[in-house]
Amino acid sequence: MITEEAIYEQLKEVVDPEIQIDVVNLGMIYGVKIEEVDGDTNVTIRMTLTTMGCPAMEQLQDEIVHRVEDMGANRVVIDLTFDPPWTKEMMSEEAKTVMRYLF
Amino acid sequence: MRGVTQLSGSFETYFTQQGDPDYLIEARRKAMRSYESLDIPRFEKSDLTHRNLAAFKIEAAAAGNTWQAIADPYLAQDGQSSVLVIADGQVVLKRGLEQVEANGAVFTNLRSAAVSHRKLVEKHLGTAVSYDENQLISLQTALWRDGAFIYVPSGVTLTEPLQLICVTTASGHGSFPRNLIIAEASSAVTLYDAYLAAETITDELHVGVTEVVVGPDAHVVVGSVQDFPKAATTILSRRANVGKNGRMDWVFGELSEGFTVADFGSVLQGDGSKSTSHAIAVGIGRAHIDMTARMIHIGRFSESDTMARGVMQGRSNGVYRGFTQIHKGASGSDGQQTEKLLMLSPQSRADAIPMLLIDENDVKCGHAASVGQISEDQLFYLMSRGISERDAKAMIVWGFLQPVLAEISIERMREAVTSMLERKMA
Amino acid sequence: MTGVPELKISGLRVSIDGKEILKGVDLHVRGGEVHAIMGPNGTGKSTLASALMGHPKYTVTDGSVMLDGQDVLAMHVDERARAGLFLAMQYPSEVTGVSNANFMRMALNARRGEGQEVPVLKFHRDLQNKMKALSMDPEFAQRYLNEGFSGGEKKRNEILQMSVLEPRIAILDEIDSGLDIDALRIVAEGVNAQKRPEFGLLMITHYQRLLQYIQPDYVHVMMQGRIVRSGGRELAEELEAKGYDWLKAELGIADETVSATV
Repeated sequence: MITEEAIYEQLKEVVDPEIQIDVVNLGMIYGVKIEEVDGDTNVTIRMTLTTMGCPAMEQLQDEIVHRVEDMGANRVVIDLTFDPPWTKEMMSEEAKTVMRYLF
Repeated sequence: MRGVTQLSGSFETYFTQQGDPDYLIEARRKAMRSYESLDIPRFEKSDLTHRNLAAFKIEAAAAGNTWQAIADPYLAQDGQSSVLVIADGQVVLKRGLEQVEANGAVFTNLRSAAVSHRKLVEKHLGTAVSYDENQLISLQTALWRDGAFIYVPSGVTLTEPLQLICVTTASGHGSFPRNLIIAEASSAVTLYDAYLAAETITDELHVGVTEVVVGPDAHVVVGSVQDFPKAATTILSRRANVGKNGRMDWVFGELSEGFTVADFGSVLQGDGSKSTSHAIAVGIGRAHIDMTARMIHIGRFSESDTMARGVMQGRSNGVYRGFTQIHKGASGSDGQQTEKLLMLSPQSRADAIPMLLIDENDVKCGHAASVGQISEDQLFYLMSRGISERDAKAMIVWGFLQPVLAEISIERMREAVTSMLERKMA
Repeated sequence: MTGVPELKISGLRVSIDGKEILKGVDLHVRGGEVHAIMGPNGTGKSTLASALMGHPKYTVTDGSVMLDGQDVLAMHVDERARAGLFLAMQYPSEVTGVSNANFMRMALNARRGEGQEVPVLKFHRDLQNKMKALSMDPEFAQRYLNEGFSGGEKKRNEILQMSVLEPRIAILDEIDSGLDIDALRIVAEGVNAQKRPEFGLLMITHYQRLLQYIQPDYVHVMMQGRIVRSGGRELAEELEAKGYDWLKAELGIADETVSATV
């Protein structure tokens, strides 16, 4: 049984190559939906990118899909949206602290 | 003193033809007479005798298209900001100025405002920077072509910063931008302005004036950056008159490679008025930068805080002056100033001069002025942790500028100054 | 570089402003070993530490220093650090405007090399753990490098840097000076936590007190700019009991400082 929590734990391992912080702490993940359809587990991940023309976006999305598939999901779909657009406010408190003094 | 009489005749005709109203022509005339009668300004640490002070004409050059490439890196990238671009003394771009009007405020070019908002311009022009401050300010007051006019009515806060970009692409015509900002009681506005020139400029005289009227409880921020090539001679005078409990914040990033004498600050007229200034200068090549942050306390409980840091590379020369004056009667006032210069090369020169004129007992004053070099011990310490010499020096320089950068509270302004510095110090 | 580190100092002579301070130092430090250099003031101990790290005010006039078979004296200061040498300084410099943590992160990334940088969040968490182990307030991460730090805080910051950078050979220059018992205990714990076969330690100290907290395997005594006696930790105990004068008498040394002509 795949849980939302477990998926988020996996996503915490996916690091944005430019900023070097994982996509969960960056606030890029807007939502995770798990559906059981005819015995299949389908996962939809609603997410955004920090910038519109993010060059590593394909790589990032591939990694996410593979990780969730490895957890046992049959179908993984990435619902990419820019509404609302990403802002620094969406980062976790920890990520915000790090951005402040580690740069 | 330059023989100017041959200008006088054509000078009035030119501006009349341009459509200037009579009060403005009269003000120009008065200023021109002052220019003719005064001597070349004698600045304590800046010798103008070898600069070409005749590098100007009365007529503006025809604005070409080359301004666009120069202005681009500074233009606010979001489509929402109100922007005014002036190239070679003429308005070449007005964008989003109507948004401002929705609030009853005005953002337009000063030449138009001299006609459309005659009463305001007539009342306030020349009140913060007097036409006879020195010979070159007189010239500016006589020949100014355009600049920004900003008016904010009582109680209105303009949340989006306004932007002005002045570009000089043609040599030898001179550049005389003039800005007038009027913020009525309890209003607020921020202006970012950038003064740029083409690399190919040969002799150029640039005299810029910004006047700000800060009403009671109003708050004005002006953040300026300047980047001129070595042939430019720049004289700047930027002053605010601040009313009761009003606040004026000046930010100045100076990256020119030429000869610059800048005098900016505020007259704290009202009780409880406040003003800060944050200045960063990076001198490269044979740049000469003479900067005075001038705060005059007249009102009681007025506060000022000036911070200036500069890095002198190559054969550049930096003079930083903090001038804090507290008049009798300005009791309970607090005037702080810091001037620090870092010399990165043995051929660079630096002077940090604190000046405090206090005529009142019940006041607080602080000052810190220093000139230094990168310490061998600091460099050794950083390198002993594996940081290369080049990176260690950059760390020390950025670390030196950091306290001023950190004080710039507007993020976009801080980012703009930071990226500008990155480009110059690469 | 992996494996057991080895620092070999042979016949090292060092001068400053034309005046000779080190007059032929021989020392061999291997990973897993803890060495202590003791001696009265003015005998050249700090010079040895600074010269090994490459401080520009010192001139090496003779001898060699090899780290893992590589010529240290031919390397710039930063190259020596990246090769695995670390010096915890007696008077660490203050650098304004540079955040303590960011500096350590850049130093760590410089050591690890391009493409091997540590992700920032991981670095942040590791750093917080290391700071906790040294009883350092988390806000020290954000403060400017050593600026306004007390003497004790600076020393702890040196050990924090050491634990972040994981050097192969570490030199501690009078790490105990200016520390009270509690601070000393914390610092010693931090140092002892580094002990492993891939880590060699050279402590320079004036007092025997430090050696009660960080047990040395070898003790060397420095006088007149060279090592005059070496032994196990009993040597330190003997000095504690009898003082340096005893050793001076035994060796026939009247003036132990580097200025001595005899």
